[in-house]
Amino acid sequence: MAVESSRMMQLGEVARGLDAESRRDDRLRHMERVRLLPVILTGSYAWLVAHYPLAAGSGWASPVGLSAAGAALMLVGSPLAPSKRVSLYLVLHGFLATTALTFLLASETALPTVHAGYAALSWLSYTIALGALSTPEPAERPVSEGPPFGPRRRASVVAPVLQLLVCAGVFGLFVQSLGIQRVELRVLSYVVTLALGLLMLSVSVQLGRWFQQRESGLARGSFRRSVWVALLLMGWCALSWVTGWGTS
Amino acid sequence: MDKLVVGVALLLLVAGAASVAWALWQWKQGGEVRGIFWVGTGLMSMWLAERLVAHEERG
Repeated sequence: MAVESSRMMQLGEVARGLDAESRRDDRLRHMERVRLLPVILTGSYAWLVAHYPLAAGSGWASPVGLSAAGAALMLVGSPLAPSKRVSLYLVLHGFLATTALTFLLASETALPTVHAGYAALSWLSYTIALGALSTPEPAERPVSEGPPFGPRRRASVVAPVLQLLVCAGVFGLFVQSLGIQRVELRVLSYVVTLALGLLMLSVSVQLGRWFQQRESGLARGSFRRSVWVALLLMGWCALSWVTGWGTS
Repeated sequence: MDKLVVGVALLLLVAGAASVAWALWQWKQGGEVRGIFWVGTGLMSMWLAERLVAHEERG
């Protein structure tokens, strides 16, 4: 009898443990969906000011309208996806791909200037929201250890040159933005240049550190995928350049 | 950090800056929609470069 009751108690503890684990998993899944919210909100804003005028002008049954509707579906449907990975693919790759398609199809459409200004600002906010999404929560970050000791190395010449070039580039962009006639676009270009400048400085500092240390290592699978996305983006730029839409 | 990642990050850095510079030029000339396109492309490529190197630093 005693053995049976102790076995029952053990089974009860196991069941309670499983129950707590499943509650924790549910909470984590819920948090992942909540973390998507800023991206969906800023993406919706971008859709309203960048896609909607194009689709409304061309008609919802037209290719532009259908593509814009597809972009909205990707965005709004992303929290309903069964896994986090699919959600991220929808909210980033799916939304951007349909956006690119919409813009390509509507390349001859003229928009009022105020829409263009709002649309640029909305893309900025969408980019920032995406950046926040990819930054891990404090609880997810591993406990950092101090940098390992390494042998002495000669000072790199490339790192300061890279920093200097980046600073000059950012300064050049600020100077170029001064020449914009429309006041709204000039203010917007300051914001864009500021955001770009911060990102450029962040990247160049980390690349400069690499040039200084010359670390070597193998990229993980996810970074290989990021490389493919980067190459796709560059291909997209080249395509729009070749077709003449971006330059003519 | 992998050399391939560093190369792509450098390319993205240059492409992002060039895209935004071109967007500002378009805005100067009155091409608002094209400017938006290039601003979006530039910021996205720069953000991607930032994420690439940040992940590599952590990884």
